[in-house]
Amino acid sequence: MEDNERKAPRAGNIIIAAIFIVFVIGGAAALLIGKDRAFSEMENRPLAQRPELSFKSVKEGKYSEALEEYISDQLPFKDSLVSLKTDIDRALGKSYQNGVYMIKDSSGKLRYIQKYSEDKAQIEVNVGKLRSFAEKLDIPVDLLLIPNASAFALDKLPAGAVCDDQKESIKYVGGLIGNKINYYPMDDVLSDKLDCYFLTDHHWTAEGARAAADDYLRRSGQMAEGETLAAYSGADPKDFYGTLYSKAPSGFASPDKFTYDEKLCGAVETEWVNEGKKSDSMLDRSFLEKKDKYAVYFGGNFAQIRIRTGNPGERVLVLKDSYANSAMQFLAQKYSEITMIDLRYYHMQELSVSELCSELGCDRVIMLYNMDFLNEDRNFVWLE
Amino acid sequence: MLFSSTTFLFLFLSLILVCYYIVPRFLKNAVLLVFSLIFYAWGEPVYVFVMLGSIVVAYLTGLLCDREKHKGKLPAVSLILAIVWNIGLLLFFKYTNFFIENANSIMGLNISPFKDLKLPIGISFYSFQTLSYVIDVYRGNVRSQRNFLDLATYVTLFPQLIAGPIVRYQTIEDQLRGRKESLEKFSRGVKRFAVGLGKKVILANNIGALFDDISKTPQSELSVAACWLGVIAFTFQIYFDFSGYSDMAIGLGKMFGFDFLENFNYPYISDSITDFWRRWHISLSTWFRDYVYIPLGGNRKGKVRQCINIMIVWFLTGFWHGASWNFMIWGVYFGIILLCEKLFLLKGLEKLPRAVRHIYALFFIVVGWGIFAFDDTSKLIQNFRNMFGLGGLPLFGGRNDLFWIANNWILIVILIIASLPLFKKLGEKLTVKIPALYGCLIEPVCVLMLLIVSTAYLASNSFNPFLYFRF
Repeated sequence: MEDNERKAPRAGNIIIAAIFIVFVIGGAAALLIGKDRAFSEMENRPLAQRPELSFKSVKEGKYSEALEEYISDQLPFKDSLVSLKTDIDRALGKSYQNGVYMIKDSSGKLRYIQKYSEDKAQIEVNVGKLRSFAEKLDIPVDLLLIPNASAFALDKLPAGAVCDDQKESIKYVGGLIGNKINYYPMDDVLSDKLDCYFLTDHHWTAEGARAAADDYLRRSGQMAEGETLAAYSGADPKDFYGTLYSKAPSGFASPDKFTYDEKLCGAVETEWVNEGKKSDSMLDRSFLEKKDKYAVYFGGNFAQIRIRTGNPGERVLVLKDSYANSAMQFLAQKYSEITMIDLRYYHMQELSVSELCSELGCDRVIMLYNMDFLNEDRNFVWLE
Repeated sequence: MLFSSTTFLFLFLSLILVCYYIVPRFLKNAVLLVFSLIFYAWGEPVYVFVMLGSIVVAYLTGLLCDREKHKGKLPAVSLILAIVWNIGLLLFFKYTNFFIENANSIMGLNISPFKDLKLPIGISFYSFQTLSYVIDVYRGNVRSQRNFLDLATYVTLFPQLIAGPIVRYQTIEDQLRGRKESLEKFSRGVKRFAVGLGKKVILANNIGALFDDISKTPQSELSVAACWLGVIAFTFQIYFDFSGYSDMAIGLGKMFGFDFLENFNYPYISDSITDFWRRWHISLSTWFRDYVYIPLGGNRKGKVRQCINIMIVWFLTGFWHGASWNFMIWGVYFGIILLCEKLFLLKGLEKLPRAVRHIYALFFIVVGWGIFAFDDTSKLIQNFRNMFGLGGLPLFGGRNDLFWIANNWILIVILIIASLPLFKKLGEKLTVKIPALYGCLIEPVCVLMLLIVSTAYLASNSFNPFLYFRF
């Protein structure tokens, strides 16, 4: 392809010149004429808009920076191009991209597994915060620790894959947890059932959440022998490409079917406390039309959400991550009132978490976290 | 601005192509100049004035050092002025902080370095270019350029401005006025540009990510094999990155009617280090040959003097690459090998089978990149200890070894093939055998695919470093 001094046919030269001109000028025209997107569902972030030209911004080099960002964000066919890159890299043998492994499921479908790298020091810090919080309370405190899909996929990862064993971390937490907190690791319940997790998202499915809630309530003696949780009947399946897909959006990925149970998610009242919003359902159906379907549960994560279930039972405080969002429809069956606190957002509030707990007169605290979260998150300090 | 960016492709290039081809002949250089200044000012608007200063100095000293027109001392004084200006700029911007820091640590001084002194991008390239212009005028090899606009166009010409090749004035003296754009040249330029873009964005960045990964891995997770894999990854990265830039520069030049000289000629097929330096960054090594080595006396003043000259040239070549010890070591390292080859080694090598000569050359090239890759001296030493089994690492079986190989072996095979002149030979054969099919279908499809795939990599904002910010 490099300089062949021998002359290429004239038609070939015309074709090549035309390709290039259409490519660069067409790209420019598409940027100029095309409608700018405000938000990328794929990347879950607002996109840069056309920058304002001013002498100051040019002089400081800010204009050029903003323009570069704008062009990069609004590039025509951006999502398809990123998919193309993902699949070329896959063809080059890169089964690990951007923090996720891509494996073939038993059904032949592409499944994304998030890489897990154990951070013992952070785990120790986080468990320590949970412990010292629990030890100051005189009500029962339970920790439900949910393994992520990687815990059950280690043997399915590509050759040479580096991924720590979450089951080891779960054991490690067991050694740190102390006596006050009742520890309910879920690695036995969900064991080897990768279908408890979405193919393309880092969350668990409603079935996974139900199995864990059932097991917890049984083991903790809150649900009697013959009793069962109401069956989950997911309806209105929608194609769902989750967060892990967005990290490496292969064109060969098949979507998950996202379903929800309108009846189980009904409540007397769900209150988004800081937002001053109330509803008779845990669902925010507007997300059914968006990419991030999992956010149908409560519309995502909020500092404080209170659910008045209308059922008899205890009042509980739930310290949680997003895994808890789909589990609430099951736990709600056994409690009268649930207050969910997300420490990523519950900062500098009027009441500390323990003050809130006594103010509400809670009978129990449930901590529900997934292993990745406990391994990485740095917001547990807000418990103090 | 980088060639390997969507801003360059879809904003800058589309605009300049349109403007350049619609204006009449007498305005074409002006269009190039204006766009080149914008191109340069893009990231650092202020340093454009440093470059303009250099152009003014080159213009004036160029006029005054013409020995046919001016008698007496004027030409020599102007020449010295040009040298002082260019070397002074380089010393000031590139090496001041290096000298201060080393003076501090060696002599225990406490001079504070200039914190805000950033290196103007491309300064090493354009300083060498303007300098060669003035020297060539003084030597009578070229006539001085009376048209300021044309000289400014030459110096700022964006295709070669920030990462070379070092285009000599004498190469394009006639082209500044009398060049002819043609469809044939344009399409050749497109092909060359697409190949260069692909080399940089698809190959170099991809393997560069592996080097980056390995060099960030903690010592406890490494192995001897992994350290070699890292340096080999860098070997590929620097070649495909740098020669990719040169390809893009040459290709862009052709789109505007210029013919630059080649800068790389399959360096990794060399069978000696002497051979390697005839194939690697040719515009730099010939610059040092013509403006340092030969003026120092070259090989005309006896063996001892020649050896000293070689060492001076290679010390400077190394130092030119950046104000850091490792670049100096790298230059001296090659100086020593070249000296050995010149004195006795080449004669011995000739008797060996070809395969052995290639292994010999590749070994010293890769080890050289091992020096070049680490500007942190303690990391450099650690890496060399690791590579040669002194770091207490296992031979193989680091935590990520298998993963790195599984994820990159296909890429490495492609890189090896692309380092050989196979595609070039294949292209030459096909142009003869099936000219219509090759020229009208295969080549256009390849170009289109390279452009689209490169854009896909750019679109995903993946690893895309600029390696020459220290040059």
